[in-house]
Amino acid sequence: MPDTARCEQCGETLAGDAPAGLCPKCLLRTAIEYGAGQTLAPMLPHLRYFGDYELLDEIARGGMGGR
Amino acid sequence: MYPRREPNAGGQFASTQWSVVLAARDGDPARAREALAALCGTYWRPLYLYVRRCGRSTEDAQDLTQGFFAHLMEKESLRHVDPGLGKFRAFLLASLKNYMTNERRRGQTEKRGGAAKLVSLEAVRGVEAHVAVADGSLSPERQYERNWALTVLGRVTEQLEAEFSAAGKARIFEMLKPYLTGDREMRYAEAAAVLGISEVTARVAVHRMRGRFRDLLHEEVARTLADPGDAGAVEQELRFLLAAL
Repeated sequence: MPDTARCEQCGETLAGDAPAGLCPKCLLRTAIEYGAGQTLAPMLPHLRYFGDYELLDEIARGGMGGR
Repeated sequence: MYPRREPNAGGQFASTQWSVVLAARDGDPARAREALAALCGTYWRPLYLYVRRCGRSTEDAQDLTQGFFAHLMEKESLRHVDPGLGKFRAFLLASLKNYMTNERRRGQTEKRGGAAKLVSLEAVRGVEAHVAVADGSLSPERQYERNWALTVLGRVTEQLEAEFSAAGKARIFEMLKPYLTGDREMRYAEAAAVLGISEVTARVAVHRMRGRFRDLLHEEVARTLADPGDAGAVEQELRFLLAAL
């Protein structure tokens, strides 16, 4: 008997009609929570070095982006 | 990283579901009905499954869904349509219910077939596989709403996949699509290694993929509302669809 597919995020059983095999609840929830103004920063928790520079913290924002 | 589909010069996306219906009523009949047929082709699944959930046989459900679409495309049946009354999702279900009541009153389901068919038998067979395992505790209306939400998500996912494929990035989509559902338990390094890119590049790609999915989803949902420009109404409908799943 095949294993029942489960969502890696919420653990719920994936129904056969899940779009592209993805958990519909988590797919929709992520899209709702991923607001239009979402920056890349939370996605890059490990990006702390740019060549000889180390990223310490964001001190201001505007014009050409974070400074 | 991926191609963007821009709104047209008017700032609105090509057409709303309502504008298609109204064009079928008021505009060039041939072209507008072609667009309406395409629309029915998109949203037949929740309607068909609603009829099945009401206890009708596979054959009856096919005839009823088919007949409903043909009825919808008759100019007369659209005479009283008013987009101000709300969501396209609710309009379709209310119209289908009316149609089913009238069919019952007439005592028989009109057989539709041949060249007029908008939905292939193959597609019906695919959907039938889900009928047996559907949650029987849900009312037909609740199940319709759930299937509507699934149809919207399926359509948007297909659009996103098509965009990636067109840009020669089908493999990236396939590897990174699980990240559309969130980050927990996800291992970017492994996906990046398989794709032969850095972990940072994978994270940037996922960020953009999510943003594009979100944009496409908003566009799709907005098209089903009376006022596509009402961002608050779009958010509200998205929350409704989440609750329906």
